[in-house]
Amino acid sequence: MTLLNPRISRVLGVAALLSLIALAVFGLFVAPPDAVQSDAQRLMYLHVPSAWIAYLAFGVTALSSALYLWRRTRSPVWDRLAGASAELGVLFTAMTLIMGSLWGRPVWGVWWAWDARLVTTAVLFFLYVGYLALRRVPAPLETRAKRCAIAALVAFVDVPIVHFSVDWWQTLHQQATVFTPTLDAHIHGVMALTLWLGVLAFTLLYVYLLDKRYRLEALEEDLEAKELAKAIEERVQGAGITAPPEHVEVGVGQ
Amino acid sequence: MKFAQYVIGGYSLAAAVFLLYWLRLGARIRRAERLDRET
Amino acid sequence: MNLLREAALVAGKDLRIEVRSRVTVQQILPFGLVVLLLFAFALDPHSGTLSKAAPGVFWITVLFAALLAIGRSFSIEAENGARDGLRLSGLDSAALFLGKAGAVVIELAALEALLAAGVVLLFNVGLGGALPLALATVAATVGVAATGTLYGVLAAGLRVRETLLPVLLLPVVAPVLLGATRAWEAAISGASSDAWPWVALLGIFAVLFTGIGMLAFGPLLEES
Repeated sequence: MTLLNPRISRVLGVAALLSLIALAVFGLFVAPPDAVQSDAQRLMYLHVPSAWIAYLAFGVTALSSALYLWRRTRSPVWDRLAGASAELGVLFTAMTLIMGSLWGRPVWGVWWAWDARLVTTAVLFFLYVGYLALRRVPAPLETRAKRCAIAALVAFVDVPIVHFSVDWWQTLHQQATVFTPTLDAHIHGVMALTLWLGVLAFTLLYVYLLDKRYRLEALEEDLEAKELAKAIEERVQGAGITAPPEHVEVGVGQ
Repeated sequence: MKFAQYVIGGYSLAAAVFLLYWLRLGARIRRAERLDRET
Repeated sequence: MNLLREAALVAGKDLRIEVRSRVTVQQILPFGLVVLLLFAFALDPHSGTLSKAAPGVFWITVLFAALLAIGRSFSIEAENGARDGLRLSGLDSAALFLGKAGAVVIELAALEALLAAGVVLLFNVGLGGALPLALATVAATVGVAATGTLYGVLAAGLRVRETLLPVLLLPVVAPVLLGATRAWEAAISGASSDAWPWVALLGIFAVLFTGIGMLAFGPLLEES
């Protein structure tokens, strides 16, 4: 019912919390203010790791979906993982967009810019939201799993296309991307350390939450199966029919 | 000065969102466990 | 039976239904024209915004109409166990996909011809650069129809189909909107050479999603 054993989960949770606190300390105090952007740049330590985890979560959803679809590895574990990771993906994608916006506003005067990275992240958000909507449509487990898995993979294929097309569009406009975050550029020393601390903290948080969300998914599946069985039994009893025996030995191995 | 507002606001918002999500997730799990036991 | 012949059979069925029911002609085409009209209310024609925005307005309208066309493509299979009929017909699922998507392409083509005329007449835009314009339009239409048919079958049996299809499809076809609009802008403004990279992108999208659709249609139809 869970991915990790409870003790590991607790350790992970504590590690995540500690590293998040460390991130806050480093991000707000230890790391120096940027030469150009001064303190506003500190939001980068939240925005960038968020983005990486958002894409990681998406990758996990896509990979799990593929593993579910491939008959040799088909298992409800992958379906649950895909669903759990997608919800976390929405969380981190929203975080990315909000932090990016809060970062951009004081520095560049705009809440938003139409560069490839931001637009792709926005599209990613909507792809996830659509996937989550699909997951909530009632259906037998295998049907829902297969349908969602295909949707996840189609979305996964689309993301690089979106990125490439917007990127091409921006280069044509020769718009010096307003949001040229110092990511690709040369951050060194304490700033780089803080950034990696952010990546670590968010990764730990993601894995910890993923395990919990997976458990919820497994519980809800189990609950639905039990409720269905109960409903059938009530129907059968109400009609005065005796239900067939629960465990029928088929004889031939299944 | 205004920069600091965005930064503090941003970090606080991030902390609040993650905290709320974690709390809500815990509540959803406990509810599901309870219903699972009762059924 | 050969794949294309089976696809033609399916497309022919859909188009014959259309000819008899005339839903595309009497409902979807007018819808497209109304949307065009509404854009004129929204983007003041006097300020020149409308002419400049014409390619975008055109393609957004096509996208919205495509949602209706794709919805229709599957609602005709909703009754009398028609979907079961498709599954049991023995037709290759890739052919089913190509046939249904093909019918949508033809319906959209008719719509686009009408809308293009509307854009020229109402928004005072000249459609120059015929070749890149035409190729971009074909590629974009195929891309939208293919992706739409894929999501259409995915949502086919669901009660929430009408609200789910747009939220699933529109983000995915965003690159098509981008490419088609830029290609049109380039072609219209005379800078045809700028249009070709977009035509290529649209072409790749169309081929890719047609391929994906051919693979995924069968499994999705099974589950619908």
